[in-house]
Amino acid sequence: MENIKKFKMKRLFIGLMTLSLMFTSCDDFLEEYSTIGLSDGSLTDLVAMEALNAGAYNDLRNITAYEHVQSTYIVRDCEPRRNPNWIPFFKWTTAGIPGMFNRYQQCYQVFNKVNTVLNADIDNMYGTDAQRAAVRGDAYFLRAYALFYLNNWFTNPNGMSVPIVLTVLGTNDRVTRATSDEVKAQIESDIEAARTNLAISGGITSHAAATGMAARMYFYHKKYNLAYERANEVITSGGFSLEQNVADIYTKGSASSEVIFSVITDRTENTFGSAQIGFQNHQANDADGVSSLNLEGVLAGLRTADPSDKRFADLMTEGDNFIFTDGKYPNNDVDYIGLRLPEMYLTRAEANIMVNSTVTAADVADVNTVKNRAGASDTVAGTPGANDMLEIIFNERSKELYNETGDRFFNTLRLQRDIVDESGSGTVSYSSYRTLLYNLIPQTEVDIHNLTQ
Amino acid sequence: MKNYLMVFFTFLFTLQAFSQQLTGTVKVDGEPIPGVNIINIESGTGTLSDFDGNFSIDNLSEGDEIEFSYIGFQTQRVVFNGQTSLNISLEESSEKLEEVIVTGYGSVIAKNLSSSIVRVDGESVKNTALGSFEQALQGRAAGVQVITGSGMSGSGTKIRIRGANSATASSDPLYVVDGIIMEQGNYRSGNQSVGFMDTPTNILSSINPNDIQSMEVLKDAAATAIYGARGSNGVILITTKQGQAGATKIEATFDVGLSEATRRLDYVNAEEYLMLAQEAWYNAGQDPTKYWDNSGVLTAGNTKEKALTTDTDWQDVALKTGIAYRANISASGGSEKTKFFVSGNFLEEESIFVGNEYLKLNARTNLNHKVNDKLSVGTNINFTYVDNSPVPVQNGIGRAVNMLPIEPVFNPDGTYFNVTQNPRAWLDLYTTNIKNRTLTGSWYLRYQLSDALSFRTEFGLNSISVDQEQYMDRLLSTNDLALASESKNTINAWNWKNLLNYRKSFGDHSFDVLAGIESSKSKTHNIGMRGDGFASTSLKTPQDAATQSVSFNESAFTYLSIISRLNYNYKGKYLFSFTARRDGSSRFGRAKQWGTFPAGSLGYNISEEPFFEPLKGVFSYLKLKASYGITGNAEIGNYQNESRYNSVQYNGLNGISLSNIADDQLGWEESIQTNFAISAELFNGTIRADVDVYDKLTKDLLLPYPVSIVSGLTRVTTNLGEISNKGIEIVLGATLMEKNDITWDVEFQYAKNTNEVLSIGDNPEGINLPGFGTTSIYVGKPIGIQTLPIWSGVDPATGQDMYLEQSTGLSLTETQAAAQYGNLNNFFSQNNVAFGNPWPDFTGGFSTDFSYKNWSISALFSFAVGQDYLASGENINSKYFAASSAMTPLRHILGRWRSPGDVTNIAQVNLEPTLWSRTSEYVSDLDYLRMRDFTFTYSFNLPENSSIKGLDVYTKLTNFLTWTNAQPWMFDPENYVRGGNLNLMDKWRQVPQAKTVNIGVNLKF
Repeated sequence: MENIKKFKMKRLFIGLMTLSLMFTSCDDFLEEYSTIGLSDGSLTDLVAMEALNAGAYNDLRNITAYEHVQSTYIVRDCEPRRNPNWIPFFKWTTAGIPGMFNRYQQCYQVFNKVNTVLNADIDNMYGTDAQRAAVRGDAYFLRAYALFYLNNWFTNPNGMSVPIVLTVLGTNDRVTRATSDEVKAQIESDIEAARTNLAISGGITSHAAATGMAARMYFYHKKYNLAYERANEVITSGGFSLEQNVADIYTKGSASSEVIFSVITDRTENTFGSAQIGFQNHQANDADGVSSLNLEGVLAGLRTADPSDKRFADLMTEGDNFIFTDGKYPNNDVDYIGLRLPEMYLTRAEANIMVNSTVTAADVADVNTVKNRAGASDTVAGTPGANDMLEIIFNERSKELYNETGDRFFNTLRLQRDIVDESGSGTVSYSSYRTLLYNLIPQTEVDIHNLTQ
Repeated sequence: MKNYLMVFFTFLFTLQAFSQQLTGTVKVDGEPIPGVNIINIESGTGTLSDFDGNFSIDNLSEGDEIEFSYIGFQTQRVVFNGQTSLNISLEESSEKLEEVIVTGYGSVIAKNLSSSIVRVDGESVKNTALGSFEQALQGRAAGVQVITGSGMSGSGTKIRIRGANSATASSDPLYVVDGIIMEQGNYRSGNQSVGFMDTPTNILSSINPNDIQSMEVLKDAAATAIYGARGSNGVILITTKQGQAGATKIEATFDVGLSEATRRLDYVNAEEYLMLAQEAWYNAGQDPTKYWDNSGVLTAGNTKEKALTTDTDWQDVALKTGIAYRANISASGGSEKTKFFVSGNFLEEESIFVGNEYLKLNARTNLNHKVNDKLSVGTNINFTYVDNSPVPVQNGIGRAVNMLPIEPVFNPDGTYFNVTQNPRAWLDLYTTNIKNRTLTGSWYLRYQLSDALSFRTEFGLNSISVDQEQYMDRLLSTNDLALASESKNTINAWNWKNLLNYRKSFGDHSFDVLAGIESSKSKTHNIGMRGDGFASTSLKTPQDAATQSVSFNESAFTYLSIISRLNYNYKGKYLFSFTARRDGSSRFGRAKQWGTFPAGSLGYNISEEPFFEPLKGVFSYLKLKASYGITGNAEIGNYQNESRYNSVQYNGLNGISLSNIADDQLGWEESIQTNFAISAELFNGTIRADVDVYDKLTKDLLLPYPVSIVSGLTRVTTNLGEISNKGIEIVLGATLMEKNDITWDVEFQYAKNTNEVLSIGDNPEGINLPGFGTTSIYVGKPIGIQTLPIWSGVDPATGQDMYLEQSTGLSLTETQAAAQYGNLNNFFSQNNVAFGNPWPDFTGGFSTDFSYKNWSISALFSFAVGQDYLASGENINSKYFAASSAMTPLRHILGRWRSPGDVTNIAQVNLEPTLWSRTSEYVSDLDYLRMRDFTFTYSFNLPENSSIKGLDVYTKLTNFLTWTNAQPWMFDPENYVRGGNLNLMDKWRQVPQAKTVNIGVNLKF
């Protein structure tokens, strides 16, 4: 009996040891891969491509968060109070807008994603041609958008812009700066590719949004023929109409009938973005709204001239000591409005004047369309001279697009106009601020790629 | 034929006459004890006592010396004088040298130990009022830096053994409870939690301190190499109590404790605040008559009349006197075949933080059974339930310091004053509850294959489940929506080890050989749900919300290991140990999946040498030890070797974003450690000394390596860089008195560690990681420093703070710096320098145990000297701020600059913008000496026939006295900064610690 027990026991141990040896000698046990999320080996279908695009749109929330605030401060429409990060630019003595918020990085994160899409074997992924076109359309649009953003902010006074990256690069790859003209060519190529694809099928962004954005790009690039064509296409498409009530635009956000392109805010997805920054800064009370109208600025002058204009009367609030623009960011949950129909009218009008060097009745009508909706008292009568009309349009853009996309600053740059100085009575010339007001490429990138600032 | 038979029998008789046999029994306290080593010293032959304590040894000759030895008991030698039977009674050893030291996968007596291991007896953690047992190691184990968490119930602990070895990987030691590697860290809160949380709930607090028999801290490579790729941060082995054969012993302890914050901050009162505020207004050139109307001091509907009649100390809203009730009951005993230890523990606590409630229930069963003389089986099972309602620090004390003393808690109509900022509202309307269940169990089967060879298979389980609920009332929300979240997290870890152990002595040569294999896996699940917006305040769970979002995550890692160790000693004099472990892990890159971690140690019990005899009058014992070995740190995170994409959402669409670039060479961090040590006892153990000197070099440090953003990421983590930790540890102990009714022992511990980053690969001179605070890694500096602008005092002429301009060495006032650099932030970013040292120059403790008749007193003092701390949250209370971002200043700013010529360190109060930047102004060089524990016990004399065998009453003071140079903005000098090793000087909000007084009674049956 005892022997049997021992025998069984020995068999048990031999069994246990063999089992554990087998188990532990099995290398598969160490092959533990994440079951959650994607790795690069699994980016093989259109759903993953769409997810990359959606990830890039989420990046736009960050990229666009500060643009309106920063550009508005630079042109001194607004004054930041109690914030040492926002010292007026004319007090700066070194070149470069202080590098903040990692927007350069975020744009290259967009490129990483969309280049993954655009270099993937989309043709052999399961799906319809329409799905393929939508994926490509979004990717081209995003690349054009991010590149346009970088080119506007990062082109240095010598005309050198950012590196163009069209493929997925590894950590050891190196790049060089492209000229601003090269970047512009890439932007235009991308936005047209986006339009071509989105014409087949809209993606997250529509064909009209890509066309409207193309109008803005050509406009800033001073290619007024194309700017006119694209703006005209958007206006005549009939897809958009002006809101009666200006305040509605900003509460409705992407749902507004005049919004052509927007970045959706959803605080359950991402609490950071333009809405949060805009709302934080522009609340209508002295304690919280740290941004208030600069009473010596261009916009304050326009407000004084026509205080009943709804863009002032309905969107601004006078506090005890300050004037706040709380109407454009009424809460921290509103969408970032990236492109609206009025800009298309004003772009079409100005582009037409630039091309023809004269003012047509259609141009006046375009401008008056914008003015009438705002209840402005200074609608344009007759057909003014080209220079007068351009001045009217400049002011109209200032009023209409104030504190939205940065147009006030980029339009000022495009026209090489001066900016009001600290006293309010003088100006800082284009030639002097141009050497200061551009973003520097982050020093780590300069070091790694041996770039020149 | 007959003759032959005669010769044969004569031969047998002769044999019998010359080689005699001895039989007998070995007992302890009257109970037979198996496994006692019985050796004939002369011939080297030996045997073991059997299950019934019986032994039989033959081939003896008269005059032979026979040695009876058993771990933990005093060795006895008997001279054989021809007797045929002998009963031996072994006495438990009270000598430190005979203590059994648990070494991981085995044990050894202290005298034969050649590596560096510290044993802390379970008695020192018994009835502790600290949140978790490991906190009691402070001041008791040299080289073990223990930083206690806050006074929040169940808060975490940070332990560094011989310094920090890593930058980004964890440097927490490995905790092994009864052979099972414990999950550690904090219970994870759900991804869907609402708001910024700081609610650590320490997993280790699931161990009942009263269950602990001993804690062994493994420090050098020779000790930790048995844990291979997980050993380089040091290992803490916890051994729980086991039953002993004999009468059943029952022990019960009941305890109640009161606690207070160790220190409160000294803020200005309402009158002082208004004086400062009006002075600032005046200094800014404003019209004093318009102060009340225009300064913005009256916010949220406050009025001048109310402000002048209100004086609120907002700390009172968040802090209170805590109370805790504890009960502990255990029963142990058993027969020779079956032994058990069963315990139950209860803790109910309201901590010093208003709203913080905590309930812990714990039960343990340790069981061992001998099936027969070869086979034994057993189990250790521990279950803990915790119901914890922590208070996120940002909601309570964190907000309290932002309110003004001129502001009331409630409006006259009973509503909260300034509800979204009011800490009372946050404490009332924001609730968090965490329930966790922890099951730790192990089951073993041991088989004695032969006298020397045994086999053990053991399966261990560590299963943790955490349910967290949170609710934030809409009144606190900026968008008027209430938020609720629920999350469920589970960690399930198992390991299985199969070990062969060969223990045999051949004459003077003793061998203990271990070989084994081990596999383990840990898997974490996390499910969360969040809801926003509710139709009624009575609805508080996410499914009732207007909108919901959910999250899910899971993560796992595996290890496969081959374990081997050889312990050898010759005559107990020359000690040699060699350990090697080969570890493979799923965490490592596919091209570098296995690593080998060898270590060796030598020990020389020099006092055993004959030539040492003349010195033995003084040096009763002297041992020299040396060790060298390689260990690893595999706490590099899961899936770090894969390209990974984070999940993001855009307008309801699934999005992804690159988060990691694949690296198939990614591996463990490797530490190479050399250790030299001396252990000595003088005057027969009256004075004891241990000195260790070590040099630990950690290479292949996982470091963030800046890469170009064109790759999609700004940095990747890879193996590069080196850190050095060098130090000395000294332990001095003495028995000052041991006679009559008095015993008095003292012990002093001292440890000095120097940490230095030696290399950061191809990075430039330093790595600066952007983020909250600045994380900086600089060659030649310790890990965990910061880069800061250097504050150089207050300009007596202008009353402005001055900062050092690095290029010129000049001190610039704020105005000068802003003028030259465009703004002050530009100046700061260009004049940052690597600064400070978050690690103390030295740490240690002093303990004393005194007993006289029925009275006993034990005290432990711990200290740390020379640590830099940057209170980045509290520092802003050291400035006066304009009313719109009002903070209540601390009273020391009353010593502000007021007029030209004033020499002070406090700048003028004015209405300048809030300066949030961290500067060296707020770095303090911190020392403290703390009475960590003071216990006074009285044991009653009881009649011999009493059913109660023992009755003790005690009072215990924890953290009761502290001497420190901590700055006025610090709640406590022993500050739990944050996990990890980076950015250590900087803590946004410090959380107060508690000092407690406990009174308890201990009953034995």
